[in-house]
Amino acid sequence: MATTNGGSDQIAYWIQISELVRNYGLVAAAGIGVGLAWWRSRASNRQALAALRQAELAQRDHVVEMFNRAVDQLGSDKLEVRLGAIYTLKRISRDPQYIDYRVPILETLTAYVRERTREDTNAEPLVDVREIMKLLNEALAEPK
Amino acid sequence: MPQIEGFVLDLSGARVRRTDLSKANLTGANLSNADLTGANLRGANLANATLKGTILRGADLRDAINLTKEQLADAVVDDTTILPAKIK
Repeated sequence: MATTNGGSDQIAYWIQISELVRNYGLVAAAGIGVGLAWWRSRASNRQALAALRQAELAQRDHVVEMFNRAVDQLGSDKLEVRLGAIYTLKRISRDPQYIDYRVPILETLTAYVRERTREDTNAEPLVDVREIMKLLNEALAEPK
Repeated sequence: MPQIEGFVLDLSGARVRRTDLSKANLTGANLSNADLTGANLRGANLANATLKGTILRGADLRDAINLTKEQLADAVVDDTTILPAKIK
C-alpha cells in the first residue's frame, strides 16, 4: 500500500515539474516573440522613414527641375511657352511646402516684367505680363 | 514692412499700363520711371515707395495710404490722376 502511495506521489511530483517547465517555456517563448515583433517593427519603421525621406528628396528634385525648366522657358519666343512657364512658377510659389522658392520666383517674374515691357508701346501689357501682375498683386495684398 | 519677407517690388522702368495693384503693400517699392498710366492703385500702401518719374496719368490712387506730397512731386501726374483725399 505504502509503495502505491509513494508511486502516485512521485507521478504527481513529476506532473507538477513538467507543468512548471511548460509554463516557463511558454513565458520564454512569449518573451522571444515580443522581442522579435519589436525588432521587426523597428526595422520596418526605419524602412518607412527611409522611404519617406527618399520620396521627399525626389519631390524636391522634381521642383528644382520644374523651376529651372520654367525659368528657361521664360526666354522662349512663343507666348504659349512663356505663359506655361509663368503658370508653373505661380503654382510653385503658392505651395506652402516650397516657401523658399517664393521670393526667387517673385524676383524672377518681376525682372521679366521690367525687361519685357521696357519697349512696350501697347495700351496695356500682353497676357503673360498681366498674369505676372495678377500674381504680384495677390502676393502683395494687404491682409484683410 | 514689406508684405513678403525679403521681397521688395522693383518695377523701375517697366511699362505696366492699366495694371491692377489695388490694396497692394508697395512699401519701399521702386516704381521709378515706371509707366503706370491708368493703373488701379486704390487703397495701395505707398510708404517709402520711389515714384521718381513714375507716370501716373489716369491712375486711380483713391484711398492710397502713406503717399506724401514729396513722392507726388517726383511723379508725373495730370488732371486725370485720381488722388487720395488725404496726402501727407
